[in-house]
Amino acid sequence: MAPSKDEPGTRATSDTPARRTSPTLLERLRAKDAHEAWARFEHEYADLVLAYCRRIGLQVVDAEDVWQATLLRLLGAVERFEYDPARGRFRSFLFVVVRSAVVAMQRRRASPASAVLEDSSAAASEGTGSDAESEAWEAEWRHFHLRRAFQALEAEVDARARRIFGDLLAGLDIDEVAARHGTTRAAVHKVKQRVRDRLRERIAAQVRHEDGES
Amino acid sequence: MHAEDATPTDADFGFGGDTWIDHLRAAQGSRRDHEACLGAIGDYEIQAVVARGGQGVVYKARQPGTERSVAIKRLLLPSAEFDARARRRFQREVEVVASLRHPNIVTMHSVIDDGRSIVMEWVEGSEIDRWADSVRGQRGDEARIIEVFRRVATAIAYAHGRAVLHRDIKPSNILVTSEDEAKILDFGLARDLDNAVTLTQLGQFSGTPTHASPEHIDHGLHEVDVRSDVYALGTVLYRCLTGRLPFEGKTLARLFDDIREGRPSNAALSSTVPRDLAAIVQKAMHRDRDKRYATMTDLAGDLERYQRREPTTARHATAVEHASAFVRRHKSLASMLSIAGVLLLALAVQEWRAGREIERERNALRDRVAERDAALHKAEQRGAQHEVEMLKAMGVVRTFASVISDIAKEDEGVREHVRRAFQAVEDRLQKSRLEVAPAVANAMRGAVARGLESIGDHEGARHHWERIVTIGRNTEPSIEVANALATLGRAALDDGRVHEAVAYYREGEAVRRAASESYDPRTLSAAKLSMIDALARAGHIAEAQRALLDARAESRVVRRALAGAVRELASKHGLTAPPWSLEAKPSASAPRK
Repeated sequence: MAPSKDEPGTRATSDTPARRTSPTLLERLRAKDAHEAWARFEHEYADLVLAYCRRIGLQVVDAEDVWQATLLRLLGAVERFEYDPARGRFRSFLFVVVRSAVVAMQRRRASPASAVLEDSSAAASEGTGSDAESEAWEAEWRHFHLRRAFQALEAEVDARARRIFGDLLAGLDIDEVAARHGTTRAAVHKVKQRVRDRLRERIAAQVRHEDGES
Repeated sequence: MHAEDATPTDADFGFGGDTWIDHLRAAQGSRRDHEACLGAIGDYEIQAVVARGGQGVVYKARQPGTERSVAIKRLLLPSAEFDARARRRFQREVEVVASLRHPNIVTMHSVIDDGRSIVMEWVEGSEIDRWADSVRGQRGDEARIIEVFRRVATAIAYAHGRAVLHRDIKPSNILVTSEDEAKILDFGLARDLDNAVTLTQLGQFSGTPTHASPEHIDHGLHEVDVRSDVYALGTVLYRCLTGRLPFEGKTLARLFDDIREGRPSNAALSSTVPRDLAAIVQKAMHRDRDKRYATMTDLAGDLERYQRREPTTARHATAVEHASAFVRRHKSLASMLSIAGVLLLALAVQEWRAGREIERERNALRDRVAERDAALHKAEQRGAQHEVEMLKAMGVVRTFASVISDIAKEDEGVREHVRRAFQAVEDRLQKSRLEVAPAVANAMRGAVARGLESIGDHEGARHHWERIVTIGRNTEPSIEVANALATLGRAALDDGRVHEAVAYYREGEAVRRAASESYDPRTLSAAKLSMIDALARAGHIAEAQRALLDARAESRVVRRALAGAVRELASKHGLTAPPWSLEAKPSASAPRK
């Protein structure tokens, strides 16, 4: 089925995976009796969509409306097999869905769009979004995965390492952190390296879950 | 394949260099920024997103000027189907619900935002299942839970009296404050919201309808009535008493089948909840709505009777049903035991039925006895088979003792029947002693002793416990023997024979550790507490302290049962209360005195 203007499309992107060996998130959502996959998706991806909406200037209630509309559109798209995972990453597909929900919401409310949205009305009608919106989406997608991975990681590392890394994250340099915790630069480096490695592993797994394993 | 695909996350997240930490910093910062200014609905300034569900989003908000906190429920996007007429009906429904005034029902203040948002009283509390999780294991936990549910049932009955059904009773719609005050949310909204096209109607359940009644599942919200609310509250009570959901089907189809069949996914109710209370829950969530409480007031009434330790309507019905079902199911087993005894138990129950029906059934049962005694005679010739049947019969006696105990407590005539029945079992046991293994005979005696205790015949029971111990000392260690020793220890402690109690407890603990079977957690926790008490009272402080520490290595159920009492016991005897966690057993290397 060919996508309509405001419906999610199947446009190939430059980040097309060549082959996959595990089911994508969308395939899990399409599976028979997928209510658990939907519940998980709703729980996890609300953060991404809501954060993006806030970033482009929507109030929280409008962002919630967009999220609800996104879920409805996604459900329809999944049932109608409008998404071909072999031709693009999930995040690109989801962006098209979200973008279209934002435009529809703004048309319905006939309210003034934010600066970013005004700038991109032409692109929005094609369901692709402007460069500014794409950049906003990419940034929020990155933040979304970093937050998820970091949240999971915080429960795994010991309290001291958590405090040391917390200070690094707050902007203190390595010498300050080492002095503050009565340890060496090497020890602080080690903590930072460990967090980096684990974040990297987790994020790679999260993205694999999203797109299917290549 | 693109180079990016080989290591996709390195490029996107800056793991190749040091920018990943800047990205992480920005990710944390952007969330804080978004939470700092959430906007407004009407005149209300949004302070936080409280919950997001299948019907919409709940916000905590503040009205500038009054500084009053409110909850605002903003409904799902209006759809084409949620047209003007449906919207008007919805608003009328909201007006009716808003007229409800009850201390346990959340007050609706107004409808704003073109009918999409409902402004309600703000309640600082926990969802009832989480509240119950925090209460369970504390002293008086059951009484607190029952009292909250009694009030909830009374509040829902008040709404029913004004022709308002809830239609969506579930833990997230009942909040409990730190003062144990319950507040029910979302009265009557479900049917109208069901008219709108939602994700649920498009074919997916965004949540799991664990608390939906069979008629709701099969016929939708328009077919539900007062008894469907009764059912839903029964499932929530089940969850709060046991910590487990009644139905946990791995797939939606399986879940629906289990709900339709009334087939709970676990035995949590029967294993952790007193029988009378379990009977109330079972009656409330009977799959056939004609067999549930007809009104919420009836359910509240039974909860109140349970609180006062009066007979409940659920229990009486259940006893008679069990008795009848027992006779139907265990005809051959009853005969194998010969069972003047079990039959008399059945007759005793039957006496609760009136007039000629009793007489007719009694005659029929007597006829069956004659037949079954003949069958028994043949069965006894088969040697080992007798033992198997004896074991089965033991289960029968246990079931019957549980069915009949409450009735027997209230009526001397019934008690006499029961005593005679147990005596008949005892006679049978004596007659068969050469054919029955000691462990089996002891298990049987245990069932009889418990039955006698349940009707208050402690002296008769004691005779059996002592026999069990005597026989058990010459056989393999078994839980039945450990239990008999613990019971005798408890009796000695109650009589002030402290040293005798200690001797029983020490022997019982040794037998329990040597036995290969697992011990009923409630019995074990009670025995543990009594043992520690006895040791301390007898002056064996170091041993009492050690027993206190050892108790931490027991199962989670036992630790939970002990949690409330340990500190008090330690304080009473000047012992050191150990750190007490319900989450995980302490490691094997935990320090010991």
